[in-house]
Amino acid sequence: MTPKRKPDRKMDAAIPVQGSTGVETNDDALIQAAREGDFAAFEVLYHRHRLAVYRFIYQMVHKQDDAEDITQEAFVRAFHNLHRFREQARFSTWITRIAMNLCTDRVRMAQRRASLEQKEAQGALEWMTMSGVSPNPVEEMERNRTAALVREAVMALPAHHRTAIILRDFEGKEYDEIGEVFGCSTGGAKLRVLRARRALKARLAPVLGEVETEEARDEE
Amino acid sequence: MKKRIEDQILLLAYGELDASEAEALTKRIEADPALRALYDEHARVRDATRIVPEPPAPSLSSERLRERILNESATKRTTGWGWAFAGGGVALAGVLAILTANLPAGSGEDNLALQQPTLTVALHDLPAPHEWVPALIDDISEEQQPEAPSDRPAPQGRSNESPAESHSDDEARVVPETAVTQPARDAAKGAVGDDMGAHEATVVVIGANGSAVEFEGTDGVAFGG
Repeated sequence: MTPKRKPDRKMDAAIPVQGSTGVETNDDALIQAAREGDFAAFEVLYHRHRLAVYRFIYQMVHKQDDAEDITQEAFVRAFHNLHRFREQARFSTWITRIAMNLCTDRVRMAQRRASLEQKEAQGALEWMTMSGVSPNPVEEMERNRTAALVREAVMALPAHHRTAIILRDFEGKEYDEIGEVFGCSTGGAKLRVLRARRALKARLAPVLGEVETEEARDEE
Repeated sequence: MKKRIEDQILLLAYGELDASEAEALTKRIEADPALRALYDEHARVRDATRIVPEPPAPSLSSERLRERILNESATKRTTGWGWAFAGGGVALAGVLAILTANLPAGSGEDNLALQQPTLTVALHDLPAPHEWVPALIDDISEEQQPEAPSDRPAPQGRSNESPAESHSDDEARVVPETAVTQPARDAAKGAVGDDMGAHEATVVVIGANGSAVEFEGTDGVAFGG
């Protein structure tokens, strides 16, 4: 059941980041208001959480357009499914979970469609955007190279490992929050992150080792 | 045992090991080059994940979200009606299919009757053929086949038939409207006008020799030309 929407007058109203009293309204109250048809309340939720959701999604898909699109899609889905939201959960984890599912679907579809072409295009784009303005171009290049290797290794991980790495190591989420996203206990979340890190190390350590060896050779 | 130490080293590298455990493990690592190498690998991966650049600034406006929600709601409504129409169409097709399947399999005349109810009623309500068919034949014989006195025109394709005769037979099948007797006209008109309540109708009268005449009429207007 979609929440009833009030007339456009309310939708066109200025979007307050805080409640009308000036006191910051908590997520639960906003969700309740949004359920009752207050779209402005939902927009406050959107303003509050969109960047965190976007950051997470961007790390998952590594394309700005896709990340923006999925972010919007996640909030649209959240809006249409507000009646399913349980008060025990946090809105931030709930929306992250929706985003995670959307990302997984999107990545799977993209991989199925044209993984090879995508890699080539990405490589070309990286090569073209590599040269930024930096006080130390060589150091900057090395950083970019390492970042690209990390990105590649993370993208090559299975979706559940990738999500765990992004949530914990990129976004710095707490284990209890990660547990909520995965729908498991805090201990379960710790175990998932541990396994994901092991998998990432298995992919990344040899490549990083090669890079270090090359750099040492260059210095000699 | 080895795996447990490896996991503890990983946790130590990420700073997630208890202080007491961390201290004990650090001493072991300092004494064991293999453990030290493992720790360094984890630390290198950890450092690498920390230099991942920030995502580019997004453009996420509330207006876009609002538009999208409204569009999706509209699409859902449209899709709902679309499905309703599609469902109605399928149901209608099903009813028609059932009706068609239940049609009685009878003679050709019966089937024709089902397709053309006007014709059926007219034929059934016509006077007995002997009242008007001979007149038809006489008229045909006089006007178009003066040299073919037979009661029934010969069927086409017979081996002893000349092309001229065949041509005559074809012509004989076209019945002039004037050949239909007044009782037939009246019966046809009555059948269509009274029994079926039709305002406009076409009546085809088929003679015994297979010739046919078509009548068009409107309620209250005489059939025929």
